[in-house]
Amino acid sequence: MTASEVQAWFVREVLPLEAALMQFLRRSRRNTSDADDLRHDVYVRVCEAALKEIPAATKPFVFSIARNLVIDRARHDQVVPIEAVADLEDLSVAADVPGPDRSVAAREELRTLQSALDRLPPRCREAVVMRKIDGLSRKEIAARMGIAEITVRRHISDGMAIIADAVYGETPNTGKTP
Amino acid sequence: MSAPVQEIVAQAAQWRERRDGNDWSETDQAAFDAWLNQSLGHRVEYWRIDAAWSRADRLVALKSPGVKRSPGTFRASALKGIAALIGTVAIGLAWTGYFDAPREKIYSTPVGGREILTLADGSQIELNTDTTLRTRVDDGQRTVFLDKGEAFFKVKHDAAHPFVVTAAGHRVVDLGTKFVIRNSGDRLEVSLIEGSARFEPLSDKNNQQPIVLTPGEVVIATADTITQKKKTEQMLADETGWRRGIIVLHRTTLAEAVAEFNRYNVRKLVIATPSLERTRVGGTFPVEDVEAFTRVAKQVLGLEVQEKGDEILISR
Repeated sequence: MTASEVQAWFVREVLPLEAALMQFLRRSRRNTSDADDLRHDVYVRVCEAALKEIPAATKPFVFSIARNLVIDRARHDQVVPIEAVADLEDLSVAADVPGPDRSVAAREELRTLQSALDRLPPRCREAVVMRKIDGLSRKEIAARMGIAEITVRRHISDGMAIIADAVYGETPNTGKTP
Repeated sequence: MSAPVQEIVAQAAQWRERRDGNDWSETDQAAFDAWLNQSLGHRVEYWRIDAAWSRADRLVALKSPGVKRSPGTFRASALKGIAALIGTVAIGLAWTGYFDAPREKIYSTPVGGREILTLADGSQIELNTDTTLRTRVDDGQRTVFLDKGEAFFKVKHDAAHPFVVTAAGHRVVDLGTKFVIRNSGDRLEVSLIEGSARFEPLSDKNNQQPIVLTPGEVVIATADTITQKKKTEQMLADETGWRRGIIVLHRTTLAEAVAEFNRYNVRKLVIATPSLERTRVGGTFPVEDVEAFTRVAKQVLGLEVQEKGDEILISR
């Protein structure tokens, strides 16, 4: 598989599983702060395998890699008993939440993005709005906000990371508006 | 030991941000490639950030319609454009700079023709068979009127000088893109290949919301309906086969295949036995090679092919 084929597959089928994956990882580890590290390791292993051959069934594949990694870490730490590593039944429930094939209605997608936007710190949000919604250049944003272009860049790249966590990593609220 | 994940994510976002600017150089590209190739971990985090940031393109829909860049002048200029068309067809220069006086140029291809235009800003337009379009620059806006036919657009994005294609009562606003538009008169089809673009009606009468297209997305507008579809990269590559001078048929009905050949050829194929219309055919053919197609019809499908003046009849 070429890198771009793997990329397309990864974006289409693996990223939509992230919310369920994070839920699983957080639940399985006592130290929830390393859920991000685990997510990263899961993605790297998944893509390593996909570069050889795209797995036929994405969800079970991703979760079996996640489970193995969690078990490895637990063994390594010798802290968490292996039984605590989330049983499979638990996992299949978690894994069923979003599913890669859910078709997100445009409106729902917009709501997800909007709530991602709302999560940004005020200045960062301002820069992202000017960039994405008003289509302004770095220079224009810098002028309007009265800050250096380099700062605009930082705001925007910070914004990207937060948006990625929000749109992929967070469990979508089930229809209920807060 | 590799960098902590947070650090990789931050770097991925910084690269993604840098790529958005119009000062992206070959040196940047080389440095970026080197970073990507350093580890699969870099690549994966970049893919994730890039995908999230592309999704965020849809936020454009939040732009309130009230603050569109002077829609009044847009409509006025469209009208002026038609008036100006008659007068300026002969002007040989177009698109020499953003701030020149509005001027318009018309380009067209005959049946079977194909032409590639490179504009002064570096954008490219490929005209397919039997296509007419006009280009125009005013108030810093780059406008193309696709009056009929089909064209592939590869736009040099410039947020300050939007690139807008107008066709059949709609417009497509580039947000950094490659896209194809086909205007068949009663049907307008916009397929997004790369980047993103906004599709919106020219007038607000139907209260239709702008649609932000991402790669693989297709909008089809007829007089009273708008439908959205998703196409795979392969499907889009097949449909833009004309850019390489080929027609790609893949389990295509004979009726559609015939219509496709007829776009490129003066001698028209006609299906004389209506029940054949839904027969499926496949294969790759040069757009002008009707004979190759009729040979397949004869030898593979066992059909009768008969020439009658400018028509080629296919029957059972």
